[in-house]
Amino acid sequence: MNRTRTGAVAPTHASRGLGVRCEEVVHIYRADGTDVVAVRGVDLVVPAGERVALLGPSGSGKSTLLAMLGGLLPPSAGRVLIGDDELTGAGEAALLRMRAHRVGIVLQGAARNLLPYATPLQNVRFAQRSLSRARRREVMRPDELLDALGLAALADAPVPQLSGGEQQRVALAVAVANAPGLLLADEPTSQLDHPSRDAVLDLLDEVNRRFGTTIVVVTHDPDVGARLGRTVTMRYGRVGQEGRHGEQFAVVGKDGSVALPDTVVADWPPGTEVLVERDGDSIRLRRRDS
Amino acid sequence: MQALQLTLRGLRWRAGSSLAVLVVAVVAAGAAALGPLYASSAEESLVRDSLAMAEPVTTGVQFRGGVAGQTQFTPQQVSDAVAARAADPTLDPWYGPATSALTVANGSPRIGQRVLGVATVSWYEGQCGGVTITDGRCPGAAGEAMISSRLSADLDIPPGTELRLGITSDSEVDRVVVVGTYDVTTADPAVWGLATPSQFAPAPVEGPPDRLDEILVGEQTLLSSTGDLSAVGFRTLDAATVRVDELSTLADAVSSATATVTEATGVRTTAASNLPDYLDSLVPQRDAVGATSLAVTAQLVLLAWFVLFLVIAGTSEERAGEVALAKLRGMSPGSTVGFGLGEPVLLLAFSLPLGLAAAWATTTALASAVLLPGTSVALTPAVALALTLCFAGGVSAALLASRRILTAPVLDQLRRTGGRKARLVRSVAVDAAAVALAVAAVYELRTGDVDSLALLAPGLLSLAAGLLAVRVIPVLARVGVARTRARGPVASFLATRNVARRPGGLRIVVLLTVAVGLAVFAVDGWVVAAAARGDLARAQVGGWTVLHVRAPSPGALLDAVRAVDPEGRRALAAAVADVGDGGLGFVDARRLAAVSAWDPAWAGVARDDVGSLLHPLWVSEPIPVRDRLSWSGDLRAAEGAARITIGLQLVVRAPSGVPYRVDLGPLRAGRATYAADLPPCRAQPCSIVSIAVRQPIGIPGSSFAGQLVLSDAIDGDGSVDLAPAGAAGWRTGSTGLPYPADPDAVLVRSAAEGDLSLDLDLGPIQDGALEVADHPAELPVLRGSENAARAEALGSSDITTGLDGAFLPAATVGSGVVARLLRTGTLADLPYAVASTSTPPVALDLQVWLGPEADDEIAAELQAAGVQVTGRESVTEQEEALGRSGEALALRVFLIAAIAALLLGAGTLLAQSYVVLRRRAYELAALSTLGASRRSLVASARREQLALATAGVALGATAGLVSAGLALGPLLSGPDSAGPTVWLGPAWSAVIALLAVVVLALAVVADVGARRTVDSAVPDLLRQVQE
Repeated sequence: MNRTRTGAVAPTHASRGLGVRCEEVVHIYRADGTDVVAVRGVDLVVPAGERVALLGPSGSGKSTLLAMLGGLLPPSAGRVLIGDDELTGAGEAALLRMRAHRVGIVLQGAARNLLPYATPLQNVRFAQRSLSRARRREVMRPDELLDALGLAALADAPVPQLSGGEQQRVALAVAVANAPGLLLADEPTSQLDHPSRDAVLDLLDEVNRRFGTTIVVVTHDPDVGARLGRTVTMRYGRVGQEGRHGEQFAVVGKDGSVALPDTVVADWPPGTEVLVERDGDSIRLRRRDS
Repeated sequence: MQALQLTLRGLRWRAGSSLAVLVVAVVAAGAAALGPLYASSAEESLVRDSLAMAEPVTTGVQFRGGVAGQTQFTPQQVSDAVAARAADPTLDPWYGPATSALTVANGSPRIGQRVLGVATVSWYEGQCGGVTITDGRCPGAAGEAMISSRLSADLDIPPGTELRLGITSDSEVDRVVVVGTYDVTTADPAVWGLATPSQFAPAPVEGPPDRLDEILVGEQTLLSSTGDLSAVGFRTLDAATVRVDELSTLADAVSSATATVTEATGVRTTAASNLPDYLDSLVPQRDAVGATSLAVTAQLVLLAWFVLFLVIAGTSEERAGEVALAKLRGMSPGSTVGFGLGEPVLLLAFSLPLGLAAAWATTTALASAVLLPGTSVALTPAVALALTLCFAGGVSAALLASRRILTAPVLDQLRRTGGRKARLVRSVAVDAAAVALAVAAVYELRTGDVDSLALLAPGLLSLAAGLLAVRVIPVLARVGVARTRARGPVASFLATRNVARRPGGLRIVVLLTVAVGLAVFAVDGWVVAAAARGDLARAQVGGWTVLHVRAPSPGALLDAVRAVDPEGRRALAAAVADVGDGGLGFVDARRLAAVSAWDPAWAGVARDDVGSLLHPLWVSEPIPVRDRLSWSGDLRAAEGAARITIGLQLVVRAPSGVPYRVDLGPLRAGRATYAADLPPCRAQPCSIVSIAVRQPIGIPGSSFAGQLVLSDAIDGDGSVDLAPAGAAGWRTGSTGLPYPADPDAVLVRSAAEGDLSLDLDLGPIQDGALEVADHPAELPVLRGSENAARAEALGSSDITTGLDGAFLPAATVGSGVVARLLRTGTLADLPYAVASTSTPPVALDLQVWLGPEADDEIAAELQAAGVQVTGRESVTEQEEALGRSGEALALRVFLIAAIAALLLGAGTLLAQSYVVLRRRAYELAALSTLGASRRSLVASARREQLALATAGVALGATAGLVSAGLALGPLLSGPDSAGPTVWLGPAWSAVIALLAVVVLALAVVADVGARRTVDSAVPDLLRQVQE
């Protein structure tokens, strides 16, 4: 287990991304006296430098999984590795160091990621406060970063005067201020019009291209998933489907379960009895009454 | 720098809450600094006030050297040695230059062979400017002298008269010519210092005074004398130069300067000052100011800290998301705390100079308004310490208030799920400690040990009440929820429900309870204390205005005042003597009811009755005689009487009130005429005091029994009625006689038609006497309560001391607090006291008390009647002086602190209602979306805030009144208190007015807060929550 190598790795804005590995990750929380399983046995591997969209309906556990990847929520069971660092059981200090050096996070709602009274430049500078002086010299200066990401024009504008899309792009810039190997973004395009959404996605592309940063985005928007290349669709706390470049695959769970596509579920409501018939490399499902 | 810039931006972003925190922090810092600043200034004022009012003899330094015992030195050498020592530079910061004087204490001036008496013969440096010269000029050259105008008039010594001073055997030096006269009452203390030129002392019998006013001569006259010359150097303290932080330096300098030193020249000199002892005597008052200021300001600072905690806790929610961002970006816990506390700590840092400036301005304003003019406001180490403690306390309060947002998980903060419910920062242990402290305070108060605890009691009691209320109110609110759920308006239901489920909001009840408790105590205490000071001033002064006067005698003063004010409604004559147990006061009692500011009820006597009690009408009027008296005496010896050795003596009272005794010679058998000249009775009639028969002194007498009939009495105006009230007009008594008379030696057989028939029965060494019964045999007196208690303990309640210092039979008619002498001394009727004296009176402070109807012209009228006004005091001035005493100064700072506490409370309620209701806005927005009317929502928010405010006000008022009831008694009428203090409140009108203002202000605050909150509760808020 290697939890504390964040300082030694010393990634820069030009360094490679960090891979993500989730093994049998479970998260249970208590609400109104009842235990709720938000994430149940998720296995997920994201290679370094890959861009992944976590899709799924509300309550499917995608944001919870993202929070666990950012060290904001502890997994109840299973392992989460960011690069070589295992988050399971990591102390608060180690998690803080990880967020300072290796993981950048964009929370849902752009305004929540920014100090409202500070300019974009000051927000980036604020994010870099968690770096040591030496480390700060290794990363891009705030003005350089904003320039590199095409946000120089917004550098000194008051945050409340920025549009939603501009705020979201500034939030992304702030999240990558410390040159993280992994960028986690929760709904970065929600409530944005298409041009703004595209601008945000362009920025994600730029971050990935320029810095090699691994990107995991939570979204409801299939177009965002398509743009990122790989999609992981979650249902009821499990990974139901994976998609690559428009092609969707159901994922067989450890218990043998398979999440059917929504179009199928629409025709075959829950409780429908099916026959599973094997045919060579294929498996056929047939309704009992058909 | 960038961090500071970001912090400043944050402060500007949250201008409202930043301002709230800053204001509270400024109040806290101001309160912290105000205590020591004010205490220092108040102490200085008190010390300077006391030093200024003290006699120069008390605060000055006297350097003295004499020829006596070191006759090898000349007067010049002695004078030089004293002057050299008096020039001690260590005293220069506080003392004026030395005034030199040369004195021969026991000169025996005479004119030819006529001895005038004993007088001090002196030269004072600057004496010509130190008194008012009434005639002629000031002596300069050798051979010149100046005498007092009184001496000149009484002994008929006009300017130009040649005197022998009686200070040296050298007749050339001893012989002087009177070149001027001076007014003794105008002597400038700065010139005379330890002495006073007024040393007049009447002789014990009619004739010239024993001790004459000082005779002033030129310096050379004394330097040439061979008498017991003393050289004196006197330095007067300039009270305005004294600063409280230099007192120990001043005392050390004086102690050093007065240490016994023999000068290098060999002349022995001494130095003395009462200043160190006097400064020591001021310590208790200084301590009272310091301790009470500390107690008061400590409460205010603690309250301000609590308010800081409330405000910062309330506003920290606004910053929760930003602190979460710091954690999200991986800042270390230290950096997160630094970021989280940056804004409040910066505000606290800003508040220190602002608070200090506010405290400085307040203290300066107070100093100019209520303290002695010129009192300085000084930065002392105590101020720096107080500000440091205040800052540390503020940071602690900020840390406590922010700890939740500093430690909460990021997601909890960002999702606004609230995480843990807001909890009160208190525990059962804290509550129990507060209650225990309050109980201890009450116990201490009830057992009489007050000190500063009296001023801590309101804070402790209010805090305990507030904490208990926080326990009780939610329970009551839950009952209210059950009731209003079933029926009643929605607004009431919402209000009670919110009170029941959000105990965090109850912290405002604690704050308001403490603030209102302090305010009620302060206002009540101030009004009661002001009344007590007024009563004390009236008791201390006696009349509404009191003129200190010079008059030939108490009797002459009585006559003059009666002439000026025949109706007895404007003025009365009074005399005070510093003799007996606690002093003696004599007043023209029949005028007391109309004139006196002192209330006789304080001595247990109704105002309307005091005249008749102290001056009951008596059986006989005085028997006047003028110029001379002769009468026929018919002496019949009883059988067996051997020889007659007894003599007859008559005592009359001169118009000055001084008894004059005259021997009428030995009694002779049969009918004979007895006559005597009465010189004191030539200008004005005297009155007969007593008739005595006495055995001879020095030779054996013989027993005698028989009858003496006095008749055909004639004076310069004609016949004299010796029996104006029959036999009852005479009684056995020896008033006017310096020896006791046997009560059975002379008895009145009959008195009728001008004749007086007496039965005599004297042993060989017995004397007998009768006195005119024109005054009570027992002088009615009012006693101070301490005097009465001591007299009771000693069994001496039936005697008192008369005007002449001799014991007199007395009857106590009341006790308590008597005019001017308060709980000590006795007060009696002046006319009867004059009628009771046997020898010349003791040194008296003669006074004229003026009533409320007296106008300014009365002083001039008295002057015209021969009464010289030398000083003046009034109840108003005395009240002002008392207002600068330790207790008054402490209560004043309490009042200021209480007002500040109230402002804090109101401000916090406003801030709290803004913050709490703002949080409530989401809930209100939801209710609004569900169809609740704006009116209902405003009403519910208003009722909730009003319920909490009302609870705080009610509890605070109760706690304040209870505290006042417990503390004001011991504080104002404790064992050390001399004043009457019969009213201890509550000062209902002031308290009710205060509460009305407070309730009104809180109602406005609650209404404004409720309306603003409901107006801000728009459905859009719900969308933000959803995000």
